[in-house]
Amino acid sequence: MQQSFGQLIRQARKNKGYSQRDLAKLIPVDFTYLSKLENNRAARPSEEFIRSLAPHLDLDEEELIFLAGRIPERDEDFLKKNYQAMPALFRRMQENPDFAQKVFQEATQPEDEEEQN
Amino acid sequence: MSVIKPHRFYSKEEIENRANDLLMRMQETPNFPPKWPLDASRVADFLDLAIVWDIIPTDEEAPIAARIFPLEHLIEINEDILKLSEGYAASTIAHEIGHWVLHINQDEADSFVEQMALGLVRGTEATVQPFLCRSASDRIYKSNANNQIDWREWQAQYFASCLLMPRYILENKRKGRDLTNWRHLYAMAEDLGVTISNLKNRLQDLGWIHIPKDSRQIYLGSAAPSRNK
Repeated sequence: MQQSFGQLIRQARKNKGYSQRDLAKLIPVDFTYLSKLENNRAARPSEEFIRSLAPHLDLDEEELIFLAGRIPERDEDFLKKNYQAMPALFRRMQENPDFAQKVFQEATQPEDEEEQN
Repeated sequence: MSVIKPHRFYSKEEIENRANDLLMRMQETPNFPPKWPLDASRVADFLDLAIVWDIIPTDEEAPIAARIFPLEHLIEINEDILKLSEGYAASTIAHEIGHWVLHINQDEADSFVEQMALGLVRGTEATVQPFLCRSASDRIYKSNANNQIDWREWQAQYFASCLLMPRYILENKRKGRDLTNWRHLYAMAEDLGVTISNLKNRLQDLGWIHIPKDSRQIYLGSAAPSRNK
């Protein structure tokens, strides 16, 4: 089962050997807020907060932003420019897992590999 | 079998052994070797128990200090506790861990969750009341345990004391200190991250000190380690 934002940061914190207080001091943020985030009891965190959190947990900032239900600002601009195509794209991906898989594969393929192909 | 274990007697020795065993298992696990003052939330992490600090509304009886949701492996601590000392917060978490270790049937809780996921438990059956603590306090030491709830509270608090103040750490921290001197005891309590009441109770339990009722005078107990060692 896919982890939620809270579960992922809790597991990553434990893997790093930090307590909630340890990690909260590094960001810095109140540890009680962190405890709420880990248990999905806080409002969606800001992009800025996630970017300050991710490096301490060796997590990918962008992936974490998406997992929190946000879209990175720079991607937001792109989406706004192409807003008309987006609903169709997402719908097609949802309805056709093979197509979605192909898109994801190409998106994660290194650029030099793409050039060789 | 219920998620909450039926009441049973635990000797002091058994409770202390449980706490020591937990500390030893942490010692042998990367990322978890305990350090003092002990951050009890790390013990919760080790047990895969989540901790959340949140507002717990007072119900019709009295303020609630903390509660455990056994099915969620979650300890909820009342944020109001942070208005008190750091030692009190540590004691509260350790106390809840005591309940988790001594009073919650963890296998039963996990099996219950599995049954719920399979749709084998429905409706009101699927409700397991949280395990409530109205005060994770030293109060239980001051009064006699009159009923099963009091006994459970005493057991959890004794576990917390053993966890936060194991003998070998106390032996180390008391070096160069006079156990009959309040100032020294306060310094020890700070070193251990516990309240002065927690430390006083623990040292009295160990027979290291004796404080006559209604007195501030501390006497060395018969089991006190030599001051010269």
